Amino acid sequence: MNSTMHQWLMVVIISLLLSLTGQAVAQTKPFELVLTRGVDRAQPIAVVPFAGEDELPEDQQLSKIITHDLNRSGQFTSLPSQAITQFPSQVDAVNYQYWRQHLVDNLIIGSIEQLSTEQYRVSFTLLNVFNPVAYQQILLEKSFIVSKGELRRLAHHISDLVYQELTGERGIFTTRIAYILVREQADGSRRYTLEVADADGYNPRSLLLSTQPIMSPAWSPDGKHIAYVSFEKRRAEIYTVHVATGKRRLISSQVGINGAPAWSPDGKRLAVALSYENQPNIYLIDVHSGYIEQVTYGTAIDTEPAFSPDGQKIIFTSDRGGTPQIYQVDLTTKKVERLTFTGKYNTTAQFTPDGQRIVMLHKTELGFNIAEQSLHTGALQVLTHTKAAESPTLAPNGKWVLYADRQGGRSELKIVSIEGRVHERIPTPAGYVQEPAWSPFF
Amino acid sequence: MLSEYKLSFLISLVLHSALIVLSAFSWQSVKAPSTEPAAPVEIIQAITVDEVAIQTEMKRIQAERQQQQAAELARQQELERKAAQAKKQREAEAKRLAELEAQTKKIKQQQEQEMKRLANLKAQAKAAEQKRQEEEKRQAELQQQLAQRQAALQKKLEEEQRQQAQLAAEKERQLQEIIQRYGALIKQAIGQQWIIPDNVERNLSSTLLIRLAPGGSVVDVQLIQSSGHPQLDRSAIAAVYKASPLPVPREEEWFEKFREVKLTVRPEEVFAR
Repeated sequence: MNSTMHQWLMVVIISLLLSLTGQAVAQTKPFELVLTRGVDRAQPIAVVPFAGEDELPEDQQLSKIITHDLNRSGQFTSLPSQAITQFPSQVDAVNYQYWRQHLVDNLIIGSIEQLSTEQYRVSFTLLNVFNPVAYQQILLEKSFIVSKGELRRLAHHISDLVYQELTGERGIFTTRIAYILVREQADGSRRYTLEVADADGYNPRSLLLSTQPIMSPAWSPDGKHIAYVSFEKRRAEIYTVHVATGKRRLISSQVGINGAPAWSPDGKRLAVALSYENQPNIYLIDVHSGYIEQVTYGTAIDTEPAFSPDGQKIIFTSDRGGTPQIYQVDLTTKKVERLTFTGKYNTTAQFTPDGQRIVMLHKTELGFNIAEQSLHTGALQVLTHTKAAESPTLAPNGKWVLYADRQGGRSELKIVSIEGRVHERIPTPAGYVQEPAWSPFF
Repeated sequence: MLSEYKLSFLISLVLHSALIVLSAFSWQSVKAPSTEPAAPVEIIQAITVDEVAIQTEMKRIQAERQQQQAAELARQQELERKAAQAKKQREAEAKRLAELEAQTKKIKQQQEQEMKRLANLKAQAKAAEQKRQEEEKRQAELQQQLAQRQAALQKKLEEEQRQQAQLAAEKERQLQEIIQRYGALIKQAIGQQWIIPDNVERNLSSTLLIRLAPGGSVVDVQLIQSSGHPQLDRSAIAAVYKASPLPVPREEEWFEKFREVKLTVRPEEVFAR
């Protein structure tokens, strides 16, 4: 046997032996475990300051906006910036061991580059710190070119993308809120404005200005219009305003109360409370034609209508049972049934997007608070612990409730997460804030 | 040959002579009518004597005589023969007797020899038997000793086996206990790091294959069965890494059981806060 053949033989023998030992090892059965209990905690995440962002003013520093968004979501807890001592902005610069030691599940890195006076290129990468398969550690990687004024909105957009990737749910960071701001003038008169701001309260813009009360703002399902009640003619009327242009349209000007407009899911009709025939009842107005259809009857006060997500039912507040409670009317059969039986005061109800629960204003021993009730079980859970909450409005993903909280002579906008974990205040301009309305997804 | 027939010839001669003589007389007597005068003679009827008839008769008588002679001869011969035969027989008999005697003697001799031999053999056999018995006895003793020793060994072996079995059972029990204990510890360690995503169905499950180094450090984690919900899968993988090093036994042979862990997670409940 010559040398090469000898070598081949060795190779064959060795590989046979190896495969045999491999078999022996593989045949050891792995230890099996089933784990069914975990923790209900926010996901730890780290948002590394983007390279180049410290040249920007603080309210445009993307990593800070993203951190804030994710923290207030209640689903994430960001590593405090003091704790971050490594600042990678490229994927190859990431030392996973470091982030694992900080017990962070995910990492966001990015960079911002000024291309011209007004143009910036922003890049970010979302990485999974623990993913065992190397090339699968990158969860998201995107680049954008935006103008300076769009930086903040882009940061919210990145928060939305990250939120969706890590929770499977759509983020609300690029949604808007509308609310009424009442400002006392020096001469004692009041100014009422309909404000539209980012979901975190930033960049409020006055859409409408009036010396007379504005009430009950309601976003259309496409987010392009807001319906509201105006007292500019010294009586209640319902208008819609086109958010982008400010153009208005009169919808209802009946005798008596025209109030509490609520859009149908297809945006074609408004459910409203009208009292021109009787005590306030619920009516449907076709936005295009103005055709009116009565939905509830009787001498009780029926108001504050809200459509179900499938558009088949309307819930409303009624005192027909003696005290204000929530009722539901089927639009096909016109049959009415009572939904709330806990407590003596339940008003201002709305469906969650999955149609399984309602969120409402509920009076407890403490005072007026926000509560949610399962339609399936009837179980009611109180989310806030305050005295004078009012006007609850749901985020379009059903994860938060935005409401106004009166404290002494003031009132503030606050959000509470649907399971009650997170409470946060939404900054608003000076003045008396009331009747917030959360926009849909855009 | 002649000598053999000598006697016979002599006798024959004698006899023939006698015969001739006799016949001569007989003829003569024949010629003469019977001497028995007796009776009153009667008028005898005259019988014609026929010469031919006489000749024929004479021939007949001759023939008869010849026949008688022949017969006699034959008889003599027969007698001779018989005598000779008898003699022969006697001789043969004598011979045979002698032989028999000799044989008997021989047999007797042989018998004696045989008896001697038998006696010898018997003696030998007896001796051998004795020896055998002694041997047997010795063997039996040896056997007994051997048996005793074997019994002792067997007992020892059984004792050892029993001890082994006990040890094995004890070890098995220990193993089960360790498996229980460390299984629970590992589950708890991972569970406390496992952040369950908010909107996940309770009946979904992910399965991971975890490889550990001695000491419990997580070497790697593979997703071998996805739940279909990527956030759930990732939450489980992160939990395992965050819980590293996992609690494992220090003794190497116990640790081997935990070198590979197949973990299935199913988000059924949360630790109370």
